Amino acid sequence: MSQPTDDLIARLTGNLAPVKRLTPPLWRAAGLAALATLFLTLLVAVRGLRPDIAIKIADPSFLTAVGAAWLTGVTATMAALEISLPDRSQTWIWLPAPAALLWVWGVGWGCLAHWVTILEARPVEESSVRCLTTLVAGSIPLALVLWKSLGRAKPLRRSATAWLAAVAVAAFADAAHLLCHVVEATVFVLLMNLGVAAVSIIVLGGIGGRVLPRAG
Amino acid sequence: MTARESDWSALMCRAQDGDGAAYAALLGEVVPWLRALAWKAGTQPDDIEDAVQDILLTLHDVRHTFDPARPFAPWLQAIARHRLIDRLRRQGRRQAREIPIEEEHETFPAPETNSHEVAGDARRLQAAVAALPEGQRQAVELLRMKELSLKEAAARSGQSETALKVALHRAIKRLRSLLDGR
Repeated sequence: MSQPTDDLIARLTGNLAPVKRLTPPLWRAAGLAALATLFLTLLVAVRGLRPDIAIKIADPSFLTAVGAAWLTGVTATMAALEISLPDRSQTWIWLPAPAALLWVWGVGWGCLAHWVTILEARPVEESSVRCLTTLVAGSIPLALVLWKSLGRAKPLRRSATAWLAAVAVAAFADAAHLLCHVVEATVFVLLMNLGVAAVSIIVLGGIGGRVLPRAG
Repeated sequence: MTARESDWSALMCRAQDGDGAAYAALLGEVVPWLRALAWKAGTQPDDIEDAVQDILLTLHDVRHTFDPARPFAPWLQAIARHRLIDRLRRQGRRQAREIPIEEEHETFPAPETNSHEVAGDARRLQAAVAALPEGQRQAVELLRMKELSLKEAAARSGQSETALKVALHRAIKRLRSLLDGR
């Protein structure tokens, strides 16, 4: 063995401190999903349910959109925690894809099915700021908790981990948003739900990869 | 899981608990394996030791992510693969934007640093060897440049060992006279 490598090993192994092993990722994902659900429930309670919730609850596309958004959040959290570990399969990145497709389909189908009633509805400007604040208030604390948890693994695949975490945050926040706000114009529905989610993903995913601690 | 991997897993568990001796034993055992991995990944020979040390530092930094319920070798291999790919990417980026300094770019004042003169001598020697008669040129190439034994050179050239010796002697004499006449 060459001298510098010997020296390095001596340096790394001298006065070695014990380390706390990471809890298996699926346990951590379950904890984070529970925390996110609790937080979003509180957010919805503070903001109040949308006024037409009684009608919406009978609409399959609405239920699909909310359920799929939440499921996208859960599966993206699981995938991000798995991918953050060195030896886990790259195929974990596809875990949130089915739920994400269902989420996009639910929001899009809702717009299409109610095209006529949406066109006759009231102007949307009055609620747009509240919508955005709900999304931001939902996203930032979730992002901080998730990044803190992911950072403990010092992921080697930092970009993939950050992008999945960004998808999780955007999906959870949109689930709360769908329950709180009535957004009445088709384009605006897409913009508020999927557009803001896309912006969140791009911003959080782009910045997040740099923010996560680097190993080595 | 092989016996070796099982040992490595046990050593890593003890390392996670703070056992420095177990950790040193483990790192000592994995180093040759990491060198082989680096070599297979296309790392330049003079860069292999740096690559191994890079992997060891990363392993140390993420040692808390090792799950004793899972095998050690794939975990280490994944870390090594990530680090080696990172290094190859960095190397590729560096090569794309940097031009290596050739000997003729060096213009240091000390005469020994102006090594292009040495390169010039090498070129003159090559030209002189090329100008030798066929038998003599072959003797120089096989016995001096390729450093073959007399027996190997004889087998390859089809000349006898004595003929090769004579040809080499004449070639050196001729080269001396050619190069000394500069």
